[in-house]
Amino acid sequence: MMNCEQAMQRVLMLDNGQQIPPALEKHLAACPACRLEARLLGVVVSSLSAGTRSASSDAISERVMQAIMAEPRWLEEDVDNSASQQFPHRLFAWVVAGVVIFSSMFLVQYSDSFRWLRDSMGVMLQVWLSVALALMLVFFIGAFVASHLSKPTYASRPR
Amino acid sequence: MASEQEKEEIEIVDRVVQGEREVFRVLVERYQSDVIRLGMRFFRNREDALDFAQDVMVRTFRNLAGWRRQGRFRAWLMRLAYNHAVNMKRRGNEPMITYEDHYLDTNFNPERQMLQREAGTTLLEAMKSLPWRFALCLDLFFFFGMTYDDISRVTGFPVNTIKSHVFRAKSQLRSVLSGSIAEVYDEL
Repeated sequence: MMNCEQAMQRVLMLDNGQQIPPALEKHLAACPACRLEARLLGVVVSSLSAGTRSASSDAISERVMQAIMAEPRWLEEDVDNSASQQFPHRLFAWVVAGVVIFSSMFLVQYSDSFRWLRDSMGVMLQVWLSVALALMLVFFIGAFVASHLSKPTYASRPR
Repeated sequence: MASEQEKEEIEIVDRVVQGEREVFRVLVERYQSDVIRLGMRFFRNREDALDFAQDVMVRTFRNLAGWRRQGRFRAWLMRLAYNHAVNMKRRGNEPMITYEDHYLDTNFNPERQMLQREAGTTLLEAMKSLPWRFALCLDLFFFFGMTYDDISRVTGFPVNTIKSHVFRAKSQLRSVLSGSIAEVYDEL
């Protein structure tokens, strides 16, 4: 079981709205001094944000809604650039996957593991490999396009 | 796991993106005070803070389709507000954050208000000794009630950096409050 100082260190590390961990709760249940100190700290910290939250009485909702209603159409700005920052990484993954598929279809005919296939099919192996390659590329490109279609938004609708 | 409020906000955003602009009012009314308060930190002038908040809300509306539903809507909105405030200040001068003495909740009894005042003063003193970006982390934690993760999303600081600043501030609070324990013993 943790001692009082360890318990208070854990109390100080608690996040806003975080549940008290069981080990800490066990100590607080057994130690009235720590329980009181933790309670006081919790009450004061939560009251600080509660007090400031209720302090602001200004309302801008009407002004904002008027501005929004006056917007000619949905214009997506690049203020939140997290998506655009992630895009090159996702694109890179798609390119790697495409290269792996493409090269594996070419290299399979040179693999010793498929010698039996080459022996049994002869020239027809090239034909079937080409068909399989074409099908895989169609699925790959289809999946790429489908996963990069933008969601229909207000901008895409005629007004 | 998403809370009821988070689920509701995802639904609201979906509806707005589909064209129901009026529903956006719910989010504006829910978070306008947060954005105004953040604006006050940067601009020190109520009118400028209100203009800033309006601008942020309209930008939020325009970018709504870009919210990836990862994390809380409030954290995303506050990040937009924070980035916008920093950019606006960079055009002129260095960001200068000031804090108002408006953290007292008058619903509390006098003893509790006194504790709150002591705590608020201690935190403001702690903030003054820090660079403004770190001070803002404390502000977001104590006065906005945001979580470590959300503050990290807003400011871009690692969670552990934020935790260590909050830990130090709470330690200072603890030593200030330790003298008051006897007085509030009966109440608690």
